[in-house]
Order: sequence, then structure tokens, then C-alpha cells
Amino acid sequence: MENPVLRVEDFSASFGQHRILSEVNLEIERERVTAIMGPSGCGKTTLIRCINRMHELTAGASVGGRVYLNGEDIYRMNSMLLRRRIGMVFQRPNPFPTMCIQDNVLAGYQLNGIRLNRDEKRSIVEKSLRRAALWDEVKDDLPRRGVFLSGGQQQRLCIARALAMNPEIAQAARVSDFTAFLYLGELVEFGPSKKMFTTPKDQRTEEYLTGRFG
Amino acid sequence: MRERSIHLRNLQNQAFVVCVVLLSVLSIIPLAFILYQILHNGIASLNWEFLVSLPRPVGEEGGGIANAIVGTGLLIFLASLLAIPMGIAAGVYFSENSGSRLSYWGELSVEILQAVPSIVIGIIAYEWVVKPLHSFSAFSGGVALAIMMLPVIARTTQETLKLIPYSLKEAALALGVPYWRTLLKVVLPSALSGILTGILLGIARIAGETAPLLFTAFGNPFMNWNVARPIESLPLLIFNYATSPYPQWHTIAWGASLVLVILVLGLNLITRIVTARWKIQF
Repeated sequence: MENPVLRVEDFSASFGQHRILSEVNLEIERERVTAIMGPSGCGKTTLIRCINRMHELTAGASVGGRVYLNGEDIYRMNSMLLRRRIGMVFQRPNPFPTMCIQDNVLAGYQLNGIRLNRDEKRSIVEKSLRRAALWDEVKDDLPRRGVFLSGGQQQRLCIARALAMNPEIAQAARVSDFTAFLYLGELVEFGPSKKMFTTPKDQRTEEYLTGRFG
Repeated sequence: MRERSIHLRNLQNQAFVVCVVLLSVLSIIPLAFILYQILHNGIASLNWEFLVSLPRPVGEEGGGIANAIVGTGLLIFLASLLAIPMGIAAGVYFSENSGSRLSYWGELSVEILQAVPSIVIGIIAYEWVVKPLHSFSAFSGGVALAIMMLPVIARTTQETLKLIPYSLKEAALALGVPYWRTLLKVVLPSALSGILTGILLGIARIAGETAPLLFTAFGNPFMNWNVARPIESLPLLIFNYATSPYPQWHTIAWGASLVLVILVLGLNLITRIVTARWKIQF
């Protein structure tokens, strides 16, 4: 792969004695959607959290190996600046309940103390909500709090919040062009989604896809 | 036989319900009597004049409790100024660092502090503030009341913060927001209604305190806005007037009691409204 946006090298992660990820090698292509799949508890979320360095908030978490964002070692960067460059959408929607919809989208700027003028605000809000396919549903309710939104709408609001920061990578659990199959903390197979779903190389991938284990 | 046993059970059930209702009514009766008594005796002296004028010497008709109202207000203000930032900070620390040794001892101290008799807190404030400054003062009274208020605010803040989902903090941190900003701009605003409840409960607790003020704020028959001088308060005035030999002062004591009760009940009512209205849904 030429010039990947993210390169993961020999990456391992443990919580205390419990090893979650072992020796994961992975390259994420620029401007493409890549999916990481696997049964529940296999380490998908852990991998995503480590790329955002959110694992550092958990006591007892430790990692080994390297992760490069555009060639920069993320573990040598300031974690807060890194998190502004990597957008994150969690499994469960978590919009800020005290903020209106517009402020939720702009939260990354406002909470970091970045001042925007009115036009910038308006354009960022509209652009981000459009990219998250939520604009048409909420454009008349921007000054209202988001509690009346459905679960799916709240999740899209969180996506808009992550996209508003113009991140180099946005991480979430969605379906896509490329797939990496992770099983029991080990990267089994990686390649274009279509190819993997139709003609998987590794036997374990095939067995997972056909429901023999999972 | 079976029919009879069902009958008996129904009877038992009814007897139990009657008991519960009776006992709960009994628990309301003291409050009802207190309110009736205070209203009955206090309403006569309660008017605008009573609220805005100063006490008059014995023998002169009229006079009011303006100095005590101002004093209580000032004491509450001083105590809040000291106790609210400290209490919130302590509550935040306990909830953010639950399990740490400092937080364990801190929580324990707050719990014990809540159980310390108020007269003892008064003595402590006397030792710490009145003696070094060589004068009874509103400030020393404020310190004593702040010590009483602190545990209430710390506890309620801690309890409220516990209810805030971790995912909310995570959302802010994942946006690259520094930890302290996450606390100030995301966690605390979400806990606002609970923290306000704690503050109001704390104020309601200290508004009627007499013992810690006896040798700190001391009392003052004149109007005073100076925090370095002795100051009157509603509970102190009630104590002094009710134990005096003059019937006219007794009436004033009843009127002051009514004002104090209205203040405390009002605070409790506002607390209820705040918790209901400002509650954040997660």
C-alpha cells in the first residue's frame, strides 16, 4: 500500500495480565473506509481505542509496538492533539445532554477553546451534519437540545461532531471497502471487503463468515 | 376452612394497611402542629414594618428584625462563599479518584464532620477566628457555618457525579479536550441540578443554626454590614428574645420564627423545583 494514513506495526495491548491484542500489523488506506470485524470481545474496540490513545484512561492498560499517523509515531505525540486529529464515534451514542444540537456539532471547537465567528460556525455545522446525513432532519432544531432525537439520529450527531474537527481519520463501527478480520487478538486476514467476504484466504475467516464459530 | 383462612388473611391485610396509614398520619401531626403554632403566634407581628425596622428598646411599641434578616443573609453569603467552592472541589475529587487513599480519608472526614455537634464547631471557630482577631465577628460566624455546610455540598456533589455516565467524559476526551476542561465544561454542567440541590440543602441546614453562632457572630441589636463586627441572626434573636422576661419581645420572637420557617421551607421548595426542572436526561 502506498502512503497509508495509518500504519500499525507489531502492535500488542494488554489490560493487566490479560492480553487483548497480539502482534497486529495493519495499514489503513487514505480516504477509504476500512472495517475491522470479528466476534465480540476479540479486540476491535481496544484497537480503535489504542489508535486514539483512549486506552491510557484505563488503569492497567499497556501497549507494545508502533502506530504511525501520516508517518508520525502517535505515542510520541501529545495525546490531546492526537485525539483532535483522529475522530472517534463510540458504539453507543453519547451526545452532550447539556448542549443544543449546534453546540454538540461544534463541541470539539468550543470545549477546546477555539473561537469561531458566526459564518464559520454555520458552515461547519451544516457541512458536518450533511456529511453525517442528519442535516435535513435537524436543520430547524439546531438551537434545541438533542434529547428528543432517536438513537440513530443521536449517533449521527456524534458522527457529525467527530467530522466537524476535520480529522485525518474517523473511527467508528460501520461497513466498508476494506476489511480486517481480527480473531482472539490476532490479525487473521486483511483485504478488500468484497474479496474477503466472497473468497476468504484464511480458513478461520471462512468459518467465521459462514457462522461455524463467532 | 379454606374460606376462613382467606377471610383471615384479608383481615390481616386490612389491619396492616390501617396501621401504616395511621402511623404516617401521626408523623405528619408534629409538623402540622409546629406550623400551626408558629403561624398562630407569629402572623400578628408579621408585616412590612416588622421586616424593615430595627428592634426598639423595651417598653416602646413596634420595632422589627431587619438587623437579624440582614445578619442571617450576610452569614449565609459568607458561609456559601467559603463552603461552595471547597465542597464542590472535594466532591469532584472524591468521585474522580474513588479508591485513592486521600479520597478514602477525605470521604471519611466529611462523614465525621457531618456528625460533629454544631456547638463544637462553634468552639472551633472561636479558637481559630475569634481569639486571633480579638473580636466576635460575622466572619467567624460565617466560618463556623461554612464548616457545617461543607459536608452537605461535598456529599451531594459526589453522589451526583457518580450518576453521570462515563461515556460522556469519554466523548469529550476523545475530542482532544483536556481533562480539566472536560470536568469544567462537560461533567459539572451535567451535574448542575444535583450540585444546586446540595447548595440549597446546605443553606437550609445552616439558616436555622444557633449554637455555632453563640460565641462567633455573637449577636448585635444594631444594623451591621461589617463582616469584622458582631452581627445579629434570626436564630440568635429568637433565642435571646424568647428567653427574655418581656411579653412584647416574645411576640417578636414568634414573628422571627415564622420568617425563619418560611425561609427554610421556601429553600426546600425551591430545591424540589430545581431538581425536577433542571434534571438532565442522559
